[in-house]
Amino acid sequence: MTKVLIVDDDPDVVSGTATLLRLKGFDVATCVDARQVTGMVKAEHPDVMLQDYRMPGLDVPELVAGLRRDRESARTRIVIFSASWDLEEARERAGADDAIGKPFDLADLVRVLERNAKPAR
Amino acid sequence: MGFAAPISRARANQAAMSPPVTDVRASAAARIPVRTPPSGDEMLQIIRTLPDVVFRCYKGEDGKIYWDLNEGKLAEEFHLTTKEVQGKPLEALFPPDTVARLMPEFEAAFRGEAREFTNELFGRYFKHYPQPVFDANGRVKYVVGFISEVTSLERAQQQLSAANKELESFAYTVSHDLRTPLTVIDTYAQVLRLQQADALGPDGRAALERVQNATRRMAQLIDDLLRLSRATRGDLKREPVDLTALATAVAADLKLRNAARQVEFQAQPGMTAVADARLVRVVMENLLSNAWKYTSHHPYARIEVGIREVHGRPAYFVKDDGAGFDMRDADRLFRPFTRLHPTAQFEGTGIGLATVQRIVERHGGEIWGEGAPEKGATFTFTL
Repeated sequence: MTKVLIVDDDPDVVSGTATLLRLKGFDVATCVDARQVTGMVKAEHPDVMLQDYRMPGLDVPELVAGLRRDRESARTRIVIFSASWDLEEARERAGADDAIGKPFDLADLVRVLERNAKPAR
Repeated sequence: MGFAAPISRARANQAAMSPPVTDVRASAAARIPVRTPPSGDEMLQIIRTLPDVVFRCYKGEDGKIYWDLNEGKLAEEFHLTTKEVQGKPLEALFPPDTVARLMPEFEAAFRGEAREFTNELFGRYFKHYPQPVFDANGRVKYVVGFISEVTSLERAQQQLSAANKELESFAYTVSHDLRTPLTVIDTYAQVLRLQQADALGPDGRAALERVQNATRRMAQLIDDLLRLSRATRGDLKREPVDLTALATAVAADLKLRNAARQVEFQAQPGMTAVADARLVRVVMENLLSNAWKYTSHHPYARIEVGIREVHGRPAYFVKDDGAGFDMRDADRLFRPFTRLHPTAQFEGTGIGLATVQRIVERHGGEIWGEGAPEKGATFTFTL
């Protein structure tokens, strides 16, 4: 079962998205606190994390770089989850693997998560 | 089609302002005595009365730049009148950073180029217009020109550019913050549809679908608004653009998304323009997706992109055979949030053509539409 960690400071976005992904058969963990993100990734070892791009108290490019450096978290794929207009720019700036916009279509979200959960590496 | 390209605004104004031409010289000559032009001293008096600076400078035998005329109220204020600057080279008259700003401009003028530039001195801004004057052999004899203070204009421009930057970041924040609650609405609508489909019944599911459609429309509206605000700002990077390839690519994408539609698309080969590639793409996307949209109620549609000449300039057009519009509404086409067709008939936010017009105008071009109800529409633009 693909394990997804949803990180977003809006609890409604987190719980709604989590419910949808559970209905689609994903194993889901959530995090709404910027200070706990790194710890959660290391504890949960998600296959993919869905990371909000603009989260108060969190520098996402720095977070991504830190997770990549650490062997415990390096294999988690990072998908930017953003309401920003320029999604590709956000992904690039963060140095993340993929991106999906908000609001999202569930079928699109599932497709993005699946293509990252089974990477060719 | 009975349509004439618009006369440019400047030309229309000119025509309106020109008085009717009648020869009045004969009668005027009888009443107004002809005066001799001002003498050299009188000319100097006139220049000294002006708020600006009128100057003439030349290259000394040492290759340095000297002034033999520098008069006007500004010259007086800065103690840089002819008497005060005579015999002193440029680098002796100004602080080093001003010398560094002026020198290349004046050197260019002495190479024969007419220049126009602004420099800052003691927190004030001055616009210079040095112009070369040539001798019979085509060599620069000296450089003449004038200087005007533009401090208030410069300040206003700085404030405007700061305000624009602020507006840009405001637009981003608003778009982000509007999309987040929209995400919550849409996410829970999806949860309801997946989890409670049976409990909702057919009416409940239909209501939910409307909620989701409205959510999508609002997300689109936010995107369009941001695109409109972006279209007017940022640098214009002109480069050669292959319009034929661009139109073909955009059309291929539209075909892919509307695979069931029967649309014959044609782009004239070899169309190019020197324009901002990113912005021209937005123009093409808007015009072609409009053509696609307003032909969607027909079983078969024909869309054409081509080039023709209008007033000696290349004009590009996108033509369809769809719903068209009444020419009486032509001037409302480009107004933001103005739609000529009800949303129930054709979906849209009414921002697309406003965005297109702004982009075209930023390129110094014009756009206009021709059409008739159910006879199709043609949008023509210059860049």
